[in-house]
Amino acid sequence: MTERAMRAEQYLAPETLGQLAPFELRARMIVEGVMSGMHRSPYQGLAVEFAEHRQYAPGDGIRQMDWKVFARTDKLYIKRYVQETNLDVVVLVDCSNSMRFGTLSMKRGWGGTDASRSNDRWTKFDHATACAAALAYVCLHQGDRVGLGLFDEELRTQVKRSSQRDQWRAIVGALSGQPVQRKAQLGRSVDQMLSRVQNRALFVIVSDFLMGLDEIRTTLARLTHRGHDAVLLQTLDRQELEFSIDQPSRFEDLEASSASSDVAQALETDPRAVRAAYLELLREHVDGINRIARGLNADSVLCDTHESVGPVLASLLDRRMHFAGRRGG
Amino acid sequence: MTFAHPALAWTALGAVALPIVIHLLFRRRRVPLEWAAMDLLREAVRRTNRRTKFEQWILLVLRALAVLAAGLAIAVPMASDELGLQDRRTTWMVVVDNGATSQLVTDGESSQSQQASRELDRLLDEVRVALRARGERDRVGVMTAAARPTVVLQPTADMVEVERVLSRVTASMTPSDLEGALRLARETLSASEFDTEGNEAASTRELRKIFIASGFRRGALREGQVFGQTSISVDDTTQRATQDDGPFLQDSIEILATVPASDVPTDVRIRSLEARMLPSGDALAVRVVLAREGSDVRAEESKVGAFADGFASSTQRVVRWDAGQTEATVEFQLTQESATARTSQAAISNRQDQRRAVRVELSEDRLRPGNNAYTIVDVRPEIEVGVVGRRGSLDTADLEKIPASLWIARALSPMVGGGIRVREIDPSTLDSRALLGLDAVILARPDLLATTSMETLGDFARAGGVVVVLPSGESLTQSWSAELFPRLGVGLRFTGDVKVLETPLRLADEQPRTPLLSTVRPELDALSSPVEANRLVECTGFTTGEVVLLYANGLPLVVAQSPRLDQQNAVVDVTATSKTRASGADSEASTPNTPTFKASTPLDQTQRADSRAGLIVVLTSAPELSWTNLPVKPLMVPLLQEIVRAGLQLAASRDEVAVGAVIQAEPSTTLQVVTSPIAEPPSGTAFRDPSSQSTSEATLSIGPDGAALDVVPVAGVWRSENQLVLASNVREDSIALTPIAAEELRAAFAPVGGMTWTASSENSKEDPARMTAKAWSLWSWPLFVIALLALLTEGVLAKIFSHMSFHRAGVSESTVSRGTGLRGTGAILDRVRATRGGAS
Repeated sequence: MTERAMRAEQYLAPETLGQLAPFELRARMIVEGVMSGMHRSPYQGLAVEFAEHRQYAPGDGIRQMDWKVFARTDKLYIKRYVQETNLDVVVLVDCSNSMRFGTLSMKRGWGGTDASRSNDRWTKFDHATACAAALAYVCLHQGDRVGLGLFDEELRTQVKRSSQRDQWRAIVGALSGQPVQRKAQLGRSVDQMLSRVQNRALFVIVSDFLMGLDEIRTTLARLTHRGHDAVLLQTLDRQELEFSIDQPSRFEDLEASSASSDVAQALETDPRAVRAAYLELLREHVDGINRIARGLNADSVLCDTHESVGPVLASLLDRRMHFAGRRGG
Repeated sequence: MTFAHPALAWTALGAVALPIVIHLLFRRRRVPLEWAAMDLLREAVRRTNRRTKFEQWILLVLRALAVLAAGLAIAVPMASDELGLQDRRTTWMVVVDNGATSQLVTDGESSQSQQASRELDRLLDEVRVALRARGERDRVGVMTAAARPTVVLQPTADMVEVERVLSRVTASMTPSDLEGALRLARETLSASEFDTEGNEAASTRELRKIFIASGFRRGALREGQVFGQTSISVDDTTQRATQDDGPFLQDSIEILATVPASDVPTDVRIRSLEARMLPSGDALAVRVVLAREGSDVRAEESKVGAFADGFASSTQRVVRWDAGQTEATVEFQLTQESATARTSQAAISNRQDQRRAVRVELSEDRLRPGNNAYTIVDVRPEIEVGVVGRRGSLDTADLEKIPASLWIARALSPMVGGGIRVREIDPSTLDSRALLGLDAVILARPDLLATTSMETLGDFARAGGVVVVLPSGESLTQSWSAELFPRLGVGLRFTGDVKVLETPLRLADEQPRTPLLSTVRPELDALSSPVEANRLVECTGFTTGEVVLLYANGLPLVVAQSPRLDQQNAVVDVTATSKTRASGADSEASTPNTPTFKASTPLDQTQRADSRAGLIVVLTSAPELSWTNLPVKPLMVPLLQEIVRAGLQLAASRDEVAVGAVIQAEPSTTLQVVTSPIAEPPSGTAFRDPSSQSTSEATLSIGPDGAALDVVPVAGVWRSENQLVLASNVREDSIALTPIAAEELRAAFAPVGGMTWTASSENSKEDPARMTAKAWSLWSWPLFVIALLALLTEGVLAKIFSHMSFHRAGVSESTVSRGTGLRGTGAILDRVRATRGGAS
């Protein structure tokens, strides 16, 4: 067994797979697919399974008109059908410097990335790669095509979408070998990825999302405007969530460049004094992301790096399957 | 503001920086931490920065205030009006009590050792400790409190000079004059208020303090003495002496003082010394009374020796003290050397030549003053007495007609060679020539004296003679007394006519103890009991201490009084030292009808150093059988002979003065201490003290007004160019070592605004009572309260700020107690966990 293969096995621990197995990934929206799969196809007119009625609008085809309803109610309705298709999943993982932060001590068998090798801590990037690998595995397991993108200032590494058996190992290899550096520019990276994805897909963005809400809103809007589905997996360390540092510290910006001006931006403060304000801001930030996601029909999930990957992903899959079932109902 | 512990005050001031230093240290200790959510953190800091800084400043100020207030409270700031007047400088006047008690050896058995540490050294050390608390701009003056108080250094900022002066302060033999020293210190401080141009403005920026370094033993302060109330003046009618002085230390001068001594070391001193020639004329009887003081008077030994010019030195006597014994008497008999005896016989007419100095010396102990006593003794072998009266013959058939003069002549010279030669003098011929060569005159018929004769007698008395005045036996009226007594210089008066008693009046069973009859004292009661009087004259103008013999009804039979040199000038004549020493108490000072000091100090004492001071003895019953049966009773001979002999001796010993007194003598003369021919003890004996050599050079100058320019500095024998001989002795009460109680000292200082003890750390450790004596500043308690309030406020505010912070973060107490962090955190984490829980 090669070193890469061994790492890939470590990424998907048996307990994670056990928690993910009962669920299937479903796209909330109808995904265009060439393969017939479990996901619903937007090409409704070709399928036989009735989906819903919709009020007629000028431009709709006469063929799809439900005349029986017109006869009963004297109103024009169009019949819509669903078709199960295969799903394209694009996982975008943030590999900027801010993802290097982590406070959980590593244990044997947890694998590791470029971020955790230097400080022997389970970083946000480790957590993000674990989430990405798990999602890819599940999607590949049900026959979906999965692609991967690693980005910081721009899209650094890309694994083309595929549903072949060795796709997951390729994804894991890319995740584990990716250096973590530079600042994150979400919008630019997503744009680069969008230029390479022609069909509709489910974009899973795994990041700490410690950037401006405007950038997040713009990026997400661009995705949904093109008809893509999006899931935001926000990974934050427990320390970032609690801010329970109890001694005056000198905070140095992880994403600061080596330029002196950035070094000067290091901040000395007593965390106990600013804790309340910080947590308030963090809550506003997280709530802001949630609001943006809800407004654009996307999902957002907050992950604590000190918690297991499985439960969070399981809850996400459960939510999406439940939604798909209701839509299909 | 001054502090009892300035070092603590400085420490407190420095400790104010402690919270700031801690803050800075914590700043330096901030650990670097890489952080991702910097934008959020920056925004959080920006939001809280102003409020947090404000809260931290408040807490920092409160902490610093608490530290400062507590430190200052412990440093005991002295309560005075200097709050806010830190720019003022202080002028210190250090009063060093170098009186006789300061010679006390504190860490040895004897003062003989040069290395012995004396109480003065301890006091000077305490002065040095106290002066460490002074400000840099303060000035310090030094003065000594031993009589007479002297400013040895005017206030100066030159501390090197101050130390030099302090190191040169030596213990004096003179008594302490604390009140005089306080007055002088006040005057010196008042004088220093003005700048060189005489502007008083300088005083507005200057505080004044008097620091008294004294052991406060009884010798330094009379019992019941209160400062600031000394008043001396003489009332013409009552002859009472009082002195009035203006307000004393009424201004804002703070008085600090060392804590009184607490120990009462055992010390032996010479209480009294009496010396007189024996009737045989070839030996000198010396009687020494020793006194012992101390808290632990154990069984011990003292050695004492007596020396006199022209007499062989005595062998040392060893006094073995029993435990608890406080007084002992030692008697010496010094044999006259043969050559000296021949000289004395030849020079009989010159009284000064017959005066010899007697010295008694005690072995060295812890206090040297009091170990030497001096007296002057008249060594003439034969005394010549003139009896003024009508000639008469001894008619044994009718004894009642025998005049008093005859009884007296027979009593004085009952046999040939008795040592007293009687010369009969007719009253009409009494003049200076008739008195030539006489030592004593007995006036049997004063009623027959002319006025000029009275004045001649007065001169005779003032020249040192003894005058015995009897009532005129042949007259019922004694009007002559109004003319005679003033001319003799005494305040005595006969009032009314002669009282003829129906029943004879006996003498009192218990007679007063007077030095005049000390020789016959053991037999006096037995001798006086058969004496009765049928007639007597009432007498006034005397004190109880001057009564020699008393009747049973309290009226006097014999009164002895010293003539005053000049009654109009009313020179205050302190009771003779020897008399006080012999009686062991100054009870006379409190009796009426005598010039006394109301509250005298050694500085105020003026003693006549005049060999002309004689003695007037008055009998109120004429020694005739029609008046009294005294002439035929055994008391007659010893009474008359002792009156003459002891009277002469008293008149001679009146040439004794107290160390520390201001004497009056012949103007513009100089007296010098005589070490020779007073016999020196053989070398190698316990009496030799090398340190006593310095006293041999002491001199005393008499000013043109007859008053000495300085006080008598040491005990010894003084001689002037014109053969005036004086003996000076240390007063026993000036070397009493018993410490004065703190309450008594407070009462003494109360009229001058009170005083504050300053306890040295060593003494404080030794005696916890001294700690309680240390005055607690009025500022200390408020400062402690301020410190406490600051701490409480800091605690409350810190809690409030903390709660406000929690509240802002939306934290409930229950959340906090679970240890899961803030509610905000909980909300986010709960969201994560809810997501996870939904899946399970």
